[in-house]
Amino acid sequence: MEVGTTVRWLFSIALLIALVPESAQATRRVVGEEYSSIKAAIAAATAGDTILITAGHYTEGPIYVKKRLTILGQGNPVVDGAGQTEVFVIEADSVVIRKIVVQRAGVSFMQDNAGIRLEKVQHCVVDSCILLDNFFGIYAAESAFCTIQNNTLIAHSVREAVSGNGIHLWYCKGMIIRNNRIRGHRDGIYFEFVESSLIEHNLSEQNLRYGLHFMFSDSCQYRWNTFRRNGAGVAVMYTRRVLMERNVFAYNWGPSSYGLLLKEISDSRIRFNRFIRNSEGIHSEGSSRIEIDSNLFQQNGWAMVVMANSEDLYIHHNSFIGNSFDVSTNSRHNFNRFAYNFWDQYRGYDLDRDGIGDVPYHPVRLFSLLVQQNPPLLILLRSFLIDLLEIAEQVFPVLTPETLVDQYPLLHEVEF
Amino acid sequence: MSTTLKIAKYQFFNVVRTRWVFVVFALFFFLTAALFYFGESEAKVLVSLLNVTLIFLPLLSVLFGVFYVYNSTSFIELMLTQPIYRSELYGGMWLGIVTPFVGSFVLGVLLPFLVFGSWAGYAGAFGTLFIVGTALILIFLSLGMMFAVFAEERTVGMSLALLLWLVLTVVYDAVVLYLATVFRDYPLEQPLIAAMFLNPVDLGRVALLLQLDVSALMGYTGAVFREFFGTSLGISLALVALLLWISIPVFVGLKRFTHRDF
Repeated sequence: MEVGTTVRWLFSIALLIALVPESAQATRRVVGEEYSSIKAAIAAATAGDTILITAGHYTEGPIYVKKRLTILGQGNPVVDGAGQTEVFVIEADSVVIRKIVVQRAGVSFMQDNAGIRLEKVQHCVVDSCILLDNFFGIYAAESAFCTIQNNTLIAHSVREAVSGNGIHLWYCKGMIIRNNRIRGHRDGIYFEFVESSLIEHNLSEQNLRYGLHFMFSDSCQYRWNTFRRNGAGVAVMYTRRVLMERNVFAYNWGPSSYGLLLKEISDSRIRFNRFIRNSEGIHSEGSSRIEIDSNLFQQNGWAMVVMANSEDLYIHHNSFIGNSFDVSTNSRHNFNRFAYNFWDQYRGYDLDRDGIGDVPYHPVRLFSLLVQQNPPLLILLRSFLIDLLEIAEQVFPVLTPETLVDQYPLLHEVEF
Repeated sequence: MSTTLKIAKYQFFNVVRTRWVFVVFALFFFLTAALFYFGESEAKVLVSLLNVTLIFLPLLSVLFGVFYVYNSTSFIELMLTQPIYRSELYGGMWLGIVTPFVGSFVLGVLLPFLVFGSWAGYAGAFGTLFIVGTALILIFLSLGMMFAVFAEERTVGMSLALLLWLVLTVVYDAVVLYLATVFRDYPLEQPLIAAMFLNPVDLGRVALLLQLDVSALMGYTGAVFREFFGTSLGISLALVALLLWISIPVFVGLKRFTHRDF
């Protein structure tokens, strides 16, 4: 079907839905005036009603929503799990929940208590809510086509074992996670078995483990997100067809902290991202067929660590600026292609003035291999001796992979 | 004391007249200015200055220390006929040599930095650079003077000075690299930290590394180094080590100078 036809079809359906009259008039039920509790209002409501929760503090145990309702907060009502139970459990399609402060869903080792849990639903919206100190923030299981947007999730987790994830999706499809701010959870955003979803404009910071963590989540797109100061950066694993663009990965420091850890990722594209001040910008293990282009790597310890079990990565038009090491690997063999990158440590010349250096650039330094084999040697970084060894190695490569080379190093930074 | 200062003052102007200090000043001034002028960031300027500070500054200092004492032999002999202590003479000479060198290094870096650079985020790094550079000048000038006092032959003194420079900048690290490779199966962090304390060039380099390569050092084993050199204990120990490196050659040189037969 052509795109134009599809759009016309969708438009007609939308018009049809708009024109069909509701069987009963939607009612507005105000909690705090007509109803003293949210549960009472929900019990009285029929599908299509709006529950308006006015300012106040509601501690009612788990609130199950099994009808198609719109739940609206007015004046920041606080719905409290009192550190014991779940707070909202949505079990009906097309529920909208908006502008509510949800707090203190209890820590449990038996079940994943969440501030707002979406259970086997479609077309739900969680919008502009504030989730404070919940075990899990927003938890969606076996759901599809829901939107989670404009929420603020803040927790103060101290230990990984007793903390939950900010936005946690399990077996979902076609979800949109947009414009949320997540801080202090275990993983900021966690995906497992999620398909065809869009994650954009989120800020995930200071989480105990990963800012973004996904596994087995094919065909998802990550755009315009910022992941910074997370315990171990961002880890993505066992997934195909991922698009990551215009994200910022910054200040992920630590012994096993990565800007972006790629493990068994394939057929993906990573472009226009910025990797700034991470211990390792991108760490690739067992990944294949990924195009990594037009990214900026600035002041990382290692800009890229590409393990030898990665293959068919095409790394081009990236800018490498001020990194302690540009590229590191663990083998003399290389199955990836580097071309047309800008390396600020490149010392070649360009006689024909086409903007491409006439001498190839070998981004793997001898010293980074030595450090890989014997980490404490790092203390000799920037030693005069090391510089001398590098020069010798560049003239006669003995240890560094000869084939890991940028044949067309750019002389100027890539603008984007 | 006043005799010392008087000699120091005379030496100061004498040293300035030799134009060596202008070489140091020009080297750092034009290098720093050029780097800033060609649009390098503060971090990159620091990296370039690091190499010059750790390699050329010691070389210039140790050579000048040796040269100056040999060239001043007649002056020393003349002064020794006067009723002054030898320690006052040696101290005066040391002060008179050291001050213009330190001044030209600090000014050479500071002036372009004030014009082109920005303090934001880099004050600590530049402060460390000044401390490290100053310490290296003091250490290597003292070592140079010491060699000149010990060796009567000018060529012997020069060779010793060059040899020491080569050992401290290259050979020492090569030995460390070799030993670390041989003993790679053992925990090496503490021995390596100790090894850095035994060489002022390495000590200065590590101090600057902690300011420049934080990302790399935070990863892997680097955290151990950072935790040690980042604490006040580590910093104090490093400063004590540098002070020892300055004072030992000064005292050894002075001891020899007071007993030497001119």
